[in-house]
Amino acid sequence: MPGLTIRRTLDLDCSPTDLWRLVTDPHSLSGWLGREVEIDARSGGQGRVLDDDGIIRLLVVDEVVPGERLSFTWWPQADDAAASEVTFTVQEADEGSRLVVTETASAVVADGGSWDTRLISLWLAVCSQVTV
Amino acid sequence: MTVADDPLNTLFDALADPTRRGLLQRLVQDGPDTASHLAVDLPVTRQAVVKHLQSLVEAGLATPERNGREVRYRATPEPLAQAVGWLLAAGARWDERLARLERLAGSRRP
Repeated sequence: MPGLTIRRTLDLDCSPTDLWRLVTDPHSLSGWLGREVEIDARSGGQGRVLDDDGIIRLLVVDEVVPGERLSFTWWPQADDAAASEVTFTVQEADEGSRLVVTETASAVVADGGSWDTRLISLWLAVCSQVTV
Repeated sequence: MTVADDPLNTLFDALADPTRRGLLQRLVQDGPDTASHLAVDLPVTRQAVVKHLQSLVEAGLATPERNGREVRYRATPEPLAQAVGWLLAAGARWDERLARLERLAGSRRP
């Protein structure tokens, strides 16, 4: 199992071309990804996201396939050990477009050590019901 | 970072086995215990339980504590708690972002 991955899929009415602009253009990204987004959406390009929670995330673009896929690695400015990789994949869908977002962390960093044995037991019980 | 030294891979490899998940759950719920005592309720040998416990130790999910001739294993599930915490927090952030994107892009198809 490769790291820890979040995956979300969103179907939209807009065309794949419009969706690509929404996920790569800094002005558009500032309307949804965070409060202020700067990004040079080219391979090796850098960027900066001021998130809703006030956290500043710095990013480096890993890969761009124009119109199809954008991958970047980002990390909180204050904590570069907490890096994760985000990939936006834009697909054609019936009468619209589909965005698949994944975020993968290869390491997670302690958040102060607050944890709850009930949560762990619940999680293990959930794992027992599904194939890991 | 290579796959081999990826702590999360070690963590999930350790948790991929149902016997190991069961052992960890018992250590979390009932406190530190020995391999011999844990093996009583399981359809596997004490030696097999020791191997499973060693996998949990390597993943940072348990710690052996020697007391005379006895070794008791204590659950240390913080790495799992951190992983679950990240999943919940990062997932909630994407749900909020994608709700905004949906409003920005217009209504979703029925």
